[in-house]
Amino acid sequence: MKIKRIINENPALLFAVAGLIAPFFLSDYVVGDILVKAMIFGLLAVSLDLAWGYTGILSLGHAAFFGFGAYLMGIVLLNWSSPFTMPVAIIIGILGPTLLAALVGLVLFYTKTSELYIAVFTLSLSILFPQLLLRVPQWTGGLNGLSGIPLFPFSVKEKYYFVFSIVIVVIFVLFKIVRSDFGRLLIAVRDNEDRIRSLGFNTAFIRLIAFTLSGAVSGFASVLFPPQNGFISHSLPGFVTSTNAIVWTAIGGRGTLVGPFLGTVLINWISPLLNAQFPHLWQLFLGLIFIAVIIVFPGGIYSLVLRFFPVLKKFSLIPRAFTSRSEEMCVLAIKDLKVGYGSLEVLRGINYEVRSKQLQCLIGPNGAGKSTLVGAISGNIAPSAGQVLFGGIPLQRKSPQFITRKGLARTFQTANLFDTLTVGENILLATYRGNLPSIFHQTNCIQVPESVNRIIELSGLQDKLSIPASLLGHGERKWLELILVLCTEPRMVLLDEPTAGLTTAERIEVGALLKELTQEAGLGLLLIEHDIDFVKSIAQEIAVLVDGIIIASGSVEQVVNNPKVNELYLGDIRS
Amino acid sequence: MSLTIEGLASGYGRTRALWDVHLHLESGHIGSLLGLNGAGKTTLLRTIMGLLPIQEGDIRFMGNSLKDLEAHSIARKGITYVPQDTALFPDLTVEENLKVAFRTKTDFDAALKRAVEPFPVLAKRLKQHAGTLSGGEQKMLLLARALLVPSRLILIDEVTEGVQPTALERFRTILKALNEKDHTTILLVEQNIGFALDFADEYWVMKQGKIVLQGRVEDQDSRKIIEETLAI
Amino acid sequence: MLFGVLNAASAISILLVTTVGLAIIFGVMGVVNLAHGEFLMLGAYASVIVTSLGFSPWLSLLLAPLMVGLLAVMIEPVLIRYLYGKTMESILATWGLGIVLRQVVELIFGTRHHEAPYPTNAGFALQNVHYSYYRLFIMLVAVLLALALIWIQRKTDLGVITRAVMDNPSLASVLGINVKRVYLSAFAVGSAITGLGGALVAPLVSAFPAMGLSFVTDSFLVILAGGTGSLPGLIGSSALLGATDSIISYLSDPVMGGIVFVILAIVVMTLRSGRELRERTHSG
Repeated sequence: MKIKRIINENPALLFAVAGLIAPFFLSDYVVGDILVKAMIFGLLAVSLDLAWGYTGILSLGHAAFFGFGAYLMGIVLLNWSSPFTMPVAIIIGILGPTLLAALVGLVLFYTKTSELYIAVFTLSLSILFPQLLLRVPQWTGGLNGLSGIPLFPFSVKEKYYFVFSIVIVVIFVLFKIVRSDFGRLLIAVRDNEDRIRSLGFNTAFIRLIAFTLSGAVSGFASVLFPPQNGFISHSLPGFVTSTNAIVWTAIGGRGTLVGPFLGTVLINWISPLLNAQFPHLWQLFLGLIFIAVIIVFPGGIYSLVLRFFPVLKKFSLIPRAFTSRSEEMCVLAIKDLKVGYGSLEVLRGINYEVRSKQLQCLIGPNGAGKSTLVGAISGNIAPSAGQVLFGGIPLQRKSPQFITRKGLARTFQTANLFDTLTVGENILLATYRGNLPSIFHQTNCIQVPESVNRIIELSGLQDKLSIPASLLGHGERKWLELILVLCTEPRMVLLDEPTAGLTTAERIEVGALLKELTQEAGLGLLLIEHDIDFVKSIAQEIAVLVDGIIIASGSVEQVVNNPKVNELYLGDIRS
Repeated sequence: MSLTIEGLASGYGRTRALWDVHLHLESGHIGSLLGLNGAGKTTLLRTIMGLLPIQEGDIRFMGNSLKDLEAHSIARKGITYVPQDTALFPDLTVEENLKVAFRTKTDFDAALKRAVEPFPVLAKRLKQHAGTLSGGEQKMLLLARALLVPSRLILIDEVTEGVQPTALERFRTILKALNEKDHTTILLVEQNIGFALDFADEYWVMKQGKIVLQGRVEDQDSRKIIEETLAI
Repeated sequence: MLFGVLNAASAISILLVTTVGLAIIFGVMGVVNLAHGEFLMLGAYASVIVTSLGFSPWLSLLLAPLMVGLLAVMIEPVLIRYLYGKTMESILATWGLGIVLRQVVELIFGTRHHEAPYPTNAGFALQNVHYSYYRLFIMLVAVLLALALIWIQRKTDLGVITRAVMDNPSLASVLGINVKRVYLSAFAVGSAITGLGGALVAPLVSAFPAMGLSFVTDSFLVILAGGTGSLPGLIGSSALLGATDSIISYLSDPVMGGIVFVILAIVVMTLRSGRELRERTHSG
């Protein structure tokens, strides 16, 4: 039945219906005061969910944006009478938080910050903001706040449905966005920022967009609050409201939009009753539930609801030709590269070249610096000296996304994937090659290069496109990572132990595949490897890295028979 | 001081790395784990040391099970682990690196002198940050650290890699002395068959997480058999 | 002029005593204790309790760290243990802990301010203004604390073990160090020092349930600007941020001081992380 399918994909509709009929079963007080206010706070929670639940930005002071917009609107309404007052107040009330969020986002995401820093900075916002408000009492009413704001000229039910419809529209639009390819990108940024950057995306910009959008949504809440409450206090943008928003969002179920909204409404509905009966105890209880949710039950209440409505996203693959880059030779030149951490010197001056259409391997004892070398070339680790030139373009100290977009990609030693997204979504995002997806498309038909399509079939992943990446086995994860990397259509790939953990049969397949990639697709490959037999069977050139320098390089024959190499590394195992 | 491993299975998270490993190393003997990279030798040592959980089977040292014990408890039973990677604290000085391993309060200075004696290079660099030492010197530090505390069982993971032959000879002498004097049981992981057979009494060959061959070094043609097994 | 210097020194020392405990916890175990402000608050309330029972305020300086340390030892196995090394979870879970602690205190003591008596009202006259000896005492405590910690870190076995655990916990474990016990001790000691900090500032700001909030952001910004795990860095950033805040607050007002504090912290953090990027590793 079509209706059943629609409900299955959007269980929120059931709650929407409940919300529609609620006013007929509840008292005017509950409807007009408690529920309306709860819905407005619900929008605040939704805005926080967009930033935190979806994009992973922990904003501990989100009420600052909410309060900012409310104050702006209130100030306009109280100080200017004209036929345009209301529309202007609304516009300013929404624009204010949007711009503030954009500004904060610029500071937070374009400097080298961390999760903790974002949390502390946004917390500072919600502490400083009320103080700022108190500094200009002539505008903000100081400790008395803004009062006398004209209320909604509606009856109780009219007011309820007015706010309700705005909420529905906003959440509906947001749903479209978070379910689009862009929404998937947000989740990827939250899940694994390193990987998404290594696929060519500018994560700072993406987070800026998400955060600004979040500000805009809280702007909607901002302009609904003053005409509902009639009064704005200086503590509105402060830490109590911000903390509450976090608690509501977490308990409701972050990353679902609906969860935080419902959680907020529920808690704000019950709280007045329980607070009267058991002051402090109810807040205490909420705090304990919050802790429990964080540690034991991160999905929140709504995730429980969603278990009754499982959805399988289906994907299909369309093979196409590799966007051929030029046929000319491309060289990765590493010159005197040095990397050190504090007092530890890991790479002591690497000089090496990797060429396209070649399969080269780098071997050496553990701890010699092989993975560090890959990290230094691909922008994850900053070298202390030296140069990396790719097709003549200097890459050292550049960001991973810059390097990937120039055509140099890498895999990680432990497969680096987006665990909460499905296999299909993982691949889809990789095919964007760092370009921002549209918020209007929800692509289910993925275009992959021909050779990648064959790998997908070889690995058996074409039957698992709808499965979350977290459920894949070890070998499958490595295959998927290889697929992701190849979808960016690189000219050269650095593979960090691609066969680790694979069975002998899988190794043979991978070996043949990699050889084919160099020959037919013209890729240059540098493999970090441990398995000498594997290396001997596929490498055209080997380099040996010991103690931070390359002690030998050349053909397989040359290196295996090199006495220095044998002495230091291979022992006297010879085949 | 004997080590007995029965039906051991372990791995990393969901990935299985060891299957049904059986091994018995008698007290005071020297055993060697052989095999190519990725065969599971390091995984086995790490499991003995408590760094990886025992998923099936058991490991017994001196009759007591090591299952569910944490690494530091296992260390305090007299099992010393010399890891394969350069497992040092790079920002601590050489002397401080040694101090960390020294558990009893008494007489650190005397013990330090004894441990550093075979490595005059280290003695000169006591106040230097460990991260600035060369690879070979760092390996020496690892070994000196292992010598610092009296051990009943020493687990060594590929200590010969990246080491000059002369230093190698010194390591061998030190370990042999330890074994002869204190009857310290030694389990050695090695890729260098020559070194291992020269040094050990018994050997086990591993491939893809299982023991595929075992024997005594003094048996006929042991070298040939090992090489053949590994070449397949 | 002297007044200015004294005020700056006072601000710096207050920053130090209220932040050092947190720095230890964060540096050693990687746990972000966002309930830090509430631990300070509990120290302040411990002081209130002790003095209201008729004992000397000096005694409360002894008992507050003990009480908060004890509480920390009880909380660690229940909550903190699950948070080692997990930044986001520890931020949220300890934030929740802070909420719970605040509510408990509100339940017992209510929301009004509780005064904590000064251990000494004596002072000296400076340009016709009374400057309290107590503030000098706090400066002394800050200096002693900083010196003691640096000495422990550099010259004692405990310091070596702690630095080893911070550097590479699994290696430390293999060498026979009970890492979990080190973490528990660090949490207890860090919390106790925080309790002391709370008791020290109680007479200055008086105790109320939400008092921790103005301290927690300052403390974290100081740690972030100074670099985690670095005591000299902590002292340096406390000095820089504390002095600047003091000066700006005097020239303008405390709100401006607060704003400049945050901005300066960002700037220092950005400059540091440029250098620190070299020392960070993303893969093997």
